[in-house]
Amino acid sequence: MLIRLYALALASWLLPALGAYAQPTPAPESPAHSALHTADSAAPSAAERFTTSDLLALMADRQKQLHYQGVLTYQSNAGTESFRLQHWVDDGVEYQKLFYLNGPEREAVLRQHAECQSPGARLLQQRLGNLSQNLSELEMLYDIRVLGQERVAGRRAVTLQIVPRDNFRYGHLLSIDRDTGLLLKSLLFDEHQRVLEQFQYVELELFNSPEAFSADTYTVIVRRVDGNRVAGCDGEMNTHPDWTLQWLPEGFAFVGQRRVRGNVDMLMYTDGLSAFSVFLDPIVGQLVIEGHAQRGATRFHMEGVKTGADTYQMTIVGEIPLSVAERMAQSVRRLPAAQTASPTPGDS
Amino acid sequence: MSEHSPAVASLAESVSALADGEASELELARLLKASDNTPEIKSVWDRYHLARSAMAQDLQSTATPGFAERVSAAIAEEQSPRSARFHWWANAGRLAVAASVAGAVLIGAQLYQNDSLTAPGTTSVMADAPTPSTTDIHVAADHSLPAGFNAPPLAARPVSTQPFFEATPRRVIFEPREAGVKVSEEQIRHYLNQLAESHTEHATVNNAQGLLPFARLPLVEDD
Repeated sequence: MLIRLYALALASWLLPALGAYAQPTPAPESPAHSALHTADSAAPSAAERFTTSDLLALMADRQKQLHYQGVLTYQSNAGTESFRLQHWVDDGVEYQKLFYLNGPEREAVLRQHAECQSPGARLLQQRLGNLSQNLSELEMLYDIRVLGQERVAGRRAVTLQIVPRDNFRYGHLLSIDRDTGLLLKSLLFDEHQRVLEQFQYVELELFNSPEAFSADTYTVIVRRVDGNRVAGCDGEMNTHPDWTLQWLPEGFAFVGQRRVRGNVDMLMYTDGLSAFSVFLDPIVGQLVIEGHAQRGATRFHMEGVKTGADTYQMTIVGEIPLSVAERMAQSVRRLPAAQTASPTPGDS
Repeated sequence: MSEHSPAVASLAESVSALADGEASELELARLLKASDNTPEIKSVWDRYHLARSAMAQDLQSTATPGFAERVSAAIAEEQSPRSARFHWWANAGRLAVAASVAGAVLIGAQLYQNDSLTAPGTTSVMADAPTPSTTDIHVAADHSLPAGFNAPPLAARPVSTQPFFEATPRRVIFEPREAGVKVSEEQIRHYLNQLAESHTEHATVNNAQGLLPFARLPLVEDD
């Protein structure tokens, strides 16, 4: 509750009013901008006034009331592709659409109730809190610092560097729009500062209302994501897993088990910034595949797991180092059916 | 360059154009043919690159000796229509089946975990190895990144003499643990693609980047 109030207070300081961000958004540099702009010219540089927790809280709150559309690029070792992303809220439902501008026409659509907070979002918010302590829980996992300001997509952004304190996860470089808290640029890098992937907006436009947007799709290749279901807001999430990882890097928490692709159990983990999934596919009389794979920043580890008479194809997928996936794979254990205790988000 | 014979001089001009990325396909074909017979072409190539690097003030990206050979080899490989796709698994191929006692079939070739482009056959240690292989193509410093960060290696498709080529959707690159495959790589990639989609739903909903993680997915398969 305190965190909500804090975020609210922060948001109302930074924005005219949360939920009432109704004025048109001219080019950010124009003098007709919000009160925030005029306050800036008198105050010390914006970068000094933002603490890292402020910025992340702002971003994590995701400015759910904003309606916007932008064009962005995604770059990895596989090349560069471009996308149009739309985000709007209509009647208490948050929508997002990602439309592929390169190659075949494809689209992903996400729909989630604005009140539905995913376990990962809840975890991140908890970790950004702890106002009484100097170091938030997230800062125990990552060294977070403001690098400075830069201009992205024609907008002023503050850059945050998020370096892991261990080698069990990747680092992030985020550029957050000073005016809206939107993530304008995001880099993922490994322990050798090699950039694994990069998202960057080249253009962003804010709207006053969701009228211009529609959840209808006319592309042939569409993926619809039911955010309520994945977040467990529909009450169907299995929070008592059938499996456990006896070794897990610090800070990663189990956030739910789903059944996917018919009969495959999927365990979901996140530390607030990075996520991975463990898939356990019961195979009967089929061959087990063992090996590694990668695509861009995503790593896959495949291995067979035997419990009693059953054999499972296990695959760990995530934007995490392969060595971590391997080590976790070796520690997978089936939990007896009677056991119901499971780690809740927040525990390591 | 005036000490070259006229034939070499004209080829040298083509080398210069190629170094600047302005060679026509005809010039390129000529160069490739000539370089077999004219060893001076290789030294011309090296010198042009050294000069370019010096002018661009990034001498650290000078090619290692033999770079021209590797480019030629890559181009030659790329010329055949079948391998127009960027195919990393030239050597893995079809290997014999070897079912283990436990029932697990182990697939493949040697294991390497390097994130950057490495030639098949290169081994590296288990932990993500920092030493780049000699076939890495260095990229100049990316000024849009803060100091100390290295840009992802650009998808370095060798120059093709085809008029144009279809970009392949990004595919999963699979590295089996041991030799002997029964399941085709195509099936493995398809399987991993499906799992990646489910994982991406989780990343989308549980991390603070919204739908952006979906950009990692091709959503189609090129097989």
